[in-house]
Amino acid sequence: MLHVKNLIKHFGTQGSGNVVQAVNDVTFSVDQGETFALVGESGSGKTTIGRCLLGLERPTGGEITFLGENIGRSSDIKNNDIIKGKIQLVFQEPSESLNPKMRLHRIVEEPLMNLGLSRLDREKRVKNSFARVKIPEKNLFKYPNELSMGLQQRIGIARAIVSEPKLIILDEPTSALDPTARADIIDLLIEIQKDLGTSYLFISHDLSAVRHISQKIAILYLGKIIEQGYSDRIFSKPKHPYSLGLLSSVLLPSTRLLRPKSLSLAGEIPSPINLPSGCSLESRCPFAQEICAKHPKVEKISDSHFVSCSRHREVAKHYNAMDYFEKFSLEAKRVLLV
Amino acid sequence: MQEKMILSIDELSVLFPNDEMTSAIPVLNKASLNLKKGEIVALVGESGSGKTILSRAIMNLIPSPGYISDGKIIFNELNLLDLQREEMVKIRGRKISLIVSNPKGELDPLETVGQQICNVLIHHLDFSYSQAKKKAISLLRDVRIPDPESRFNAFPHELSGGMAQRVIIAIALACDPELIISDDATSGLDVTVQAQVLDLLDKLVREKGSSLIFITRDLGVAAHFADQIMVIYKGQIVEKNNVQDFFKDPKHPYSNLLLASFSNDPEIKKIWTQKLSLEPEDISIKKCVFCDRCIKAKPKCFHSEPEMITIEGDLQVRCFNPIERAL
Amino acid sequence: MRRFLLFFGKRLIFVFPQLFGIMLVSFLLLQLIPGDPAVLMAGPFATPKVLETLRIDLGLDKSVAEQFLIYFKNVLRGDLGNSWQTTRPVTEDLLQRFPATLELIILSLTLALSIGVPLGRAGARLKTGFTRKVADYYGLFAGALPDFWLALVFIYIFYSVYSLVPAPLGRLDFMIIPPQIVTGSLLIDSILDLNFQAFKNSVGHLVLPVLTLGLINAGPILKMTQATMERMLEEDFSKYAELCGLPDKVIAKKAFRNSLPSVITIVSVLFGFLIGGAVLVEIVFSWGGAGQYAVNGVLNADFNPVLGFVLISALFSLVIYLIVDLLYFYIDPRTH
Repeated sequence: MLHVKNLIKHFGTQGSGNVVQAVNDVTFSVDQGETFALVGESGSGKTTIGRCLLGLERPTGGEITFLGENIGRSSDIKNNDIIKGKIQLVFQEPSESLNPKMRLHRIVEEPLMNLGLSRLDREKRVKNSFARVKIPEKNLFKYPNELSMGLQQRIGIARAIVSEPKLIILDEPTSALDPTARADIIDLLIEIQKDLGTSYLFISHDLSAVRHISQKIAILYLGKIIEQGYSDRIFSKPKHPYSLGLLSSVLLPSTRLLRPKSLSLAGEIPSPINLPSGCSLESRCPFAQEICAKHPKVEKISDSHFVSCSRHREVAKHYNAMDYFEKFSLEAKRVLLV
Repeated sequence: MQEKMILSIDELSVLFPNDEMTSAIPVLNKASLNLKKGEIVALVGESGSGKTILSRAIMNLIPSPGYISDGKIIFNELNLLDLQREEMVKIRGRKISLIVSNPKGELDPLETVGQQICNVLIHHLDFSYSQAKKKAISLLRDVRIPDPESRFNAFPHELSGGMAQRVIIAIALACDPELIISDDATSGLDVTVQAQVLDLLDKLVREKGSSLIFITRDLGVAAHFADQIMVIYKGQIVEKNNVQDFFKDPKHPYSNLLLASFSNDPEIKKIWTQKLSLEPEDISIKKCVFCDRCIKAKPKCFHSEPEMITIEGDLQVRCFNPIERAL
Repeated sequence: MRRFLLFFGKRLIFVFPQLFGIMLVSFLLLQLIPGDPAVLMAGPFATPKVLETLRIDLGLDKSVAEQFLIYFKNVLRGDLGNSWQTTRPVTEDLLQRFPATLELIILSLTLALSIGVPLGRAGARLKTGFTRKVADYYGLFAGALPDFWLALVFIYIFYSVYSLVPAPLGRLDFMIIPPQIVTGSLLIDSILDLNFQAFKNSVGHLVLPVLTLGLINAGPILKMTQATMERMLEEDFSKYAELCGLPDKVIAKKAFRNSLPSVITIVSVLFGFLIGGAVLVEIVFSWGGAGQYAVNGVLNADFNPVLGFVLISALFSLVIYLIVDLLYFYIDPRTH
């Protein structure tokens, strides 16, 4: 349904001749009704990819196809009768993405204005949206600042589903929220997906949420996908040192599941200007060797599991496969099923 | 043998009057806390729980129009609330220091980071500039900032979030404080950077034997770094325990709800989550702060406020119906 | 360094089109002034033939576009035309008058800064008390008082009643020997010439106008300093400095440093304004300044002085703004 092929996005900087290589040759697809997660830290390029998909940035190279149509500039989406309204976005900061001067029902109605629907139709859809996100109708006329952050984010979701999109791009939808609100939103998103069959492109660094909601995941580092495949496989048997480092940094609320510190990554992510010619993780990788000075090829581990690392076999040997999230889930069940 | 209490907060309450000055909201309500020397306590709560206000209350810097209405803050046998402003200024940053979140926003954009570390050394410890510069560079090295001699002259906007946070830690540790408060220090940082920063903080604090209050929303961080944990909800501390026992057997329904939200299991969530109410709260009624969302709520909970009771050892709960498990 | 030079170079290049635009617009605007220069020059008894000849001489028979082109070509040669009132080249007149205005403005703004900035700082730090009240009321009054009125009051008190200063008739008493002109500033030139009589006398003449302009312009400087510092004291970095237990003096110094861009901005704006805006004070004190010169030109349809004045003061303003931008560049490391 959504196919991204060899996407490249480079930004020129003012004044200097430097080029910020934000996205470097990214390829992935999202199918009907599934959740695909783009995981990475700051500087990985994940937000830029989201913006390219929505036409907020023009790709420097590569192709993006959605429902068979080629998209790359925002005017393409707005005027394209086949795809308009079919791709929507949920932002990170609900307080910043909801117009504080607009009442909630108008906020949720906005995406429908370009679709040529009658006033009655729009009203009906807005009310349905509110029902889906479980906000009672009497709140239709409130303003965003009258709601908590968690509820504001629900409005953001209501706005995203009102035009019955096929694909929703969610850019860090839970990062600004408290843990209890986070859990609510993820559950809500899963329920909506079950009912409406919407696909999600879930961009996030919240690995817990990603583990719960996504079927497929691509891990980004400095604009390249370094590992890609089914979530449960990658969470339990990651093959790339960066995936390992990332997963082992997550702190789960358990005194028994302590992180393997030996797999931590030293240093910080280097600047996306002047990328090294070899593997981009070489400077920080505990497994790096001479071969890593050459750019690693993309290798296929199994059906849809791809890794871009020259030493992935050693990595696999070193790491005792353990899906910490599953383990924690079991422990949580023991404690909390009372 | 009584272990030395470095900080003892007794029934601290902070009120914020509403706009019309007709009533006041208790942002912090009878909070009590005992911290031993060298101990790390995690204070876990969500937004609006009052955890940040508690950190500002210890420094006696509650933003106006809020004010401390009741309670004592005993630090080294001195009630901080009795001190004059000049005396309190000598304690802040020197005996008690605060690590803030959003480091780049809190540093002076026009001063080098090295100079900002020197400021506390010069004003609290009477260092000369050259002494301070030397110490500042060694502090930058301690917090693992590469090439500290040249980074001394860097400006805040030239640093990444992780680097800036390390500078804030350096400033907080500069005068070897006895008590460090970390207010959501790692929120906004990347996961791998957060892990590094937490490891660093843990090491430095343990080395110096300082005490640390670690304020966070993340139960995971509490599990990995703290000795004791306190859960705070709507201005009240509802549970206290040592970390081992807490994660095996959380007693307060809210503690369980919080833990459940990290688990993603639908069965678990179904048990512990209740509908969120969108109605505004009537704060004049005396009731348990959590009763509206509590699965164990009984009629009594809606009419009276539970007190904080010591069950045994480290465990204290503020609840009429704490969770019982067969262990 | 390279970034700096690029920045500087870019701004410098823009100065030329800006000046051209200003020249064009002023020229066109002047055409709107009523009054026929030929009539004003020749007097009410001139015959039509004389007027006609005069008009051709002045180039008034040509189209506006042609006239502008001639003017523009002359300017490029450094010729700003002649003033028919003074019968001298405008360039000469301005060379004499601009330094007078500049000396006045620079000294006045220095005084204004030394009053406005400390009071503004104090006003921001102290929420209550006497100093705060003084700061608040000062800002109020300085904005309300007309400068020429204050000048007249000062003249009355200090000259008429107490005879503390020399007569307000220009920059120097006419019997004092003026110093050799080097910079145009009487103070500096007197010292260079070792002419202490002239120095003493010119100080005496400067006291009242500088006092007038200084006291009044301290008002906006005070308000801007106070408002910006108050904002800076509410910023996160000030709160953090408080949390670190830094003394109030240090917090105030940091807040002030962060307020500097605003203070510099307002000084630059005042400077640009006062080049022409000091005219009323110049008239009261018969200062012989540039503003006075330009106003006379307008009143008598003497175009060249007006155009000359506009051009030169525009040039000055642009130079000031350029210096201000360079100062920002220097103060704020984020611009690097």
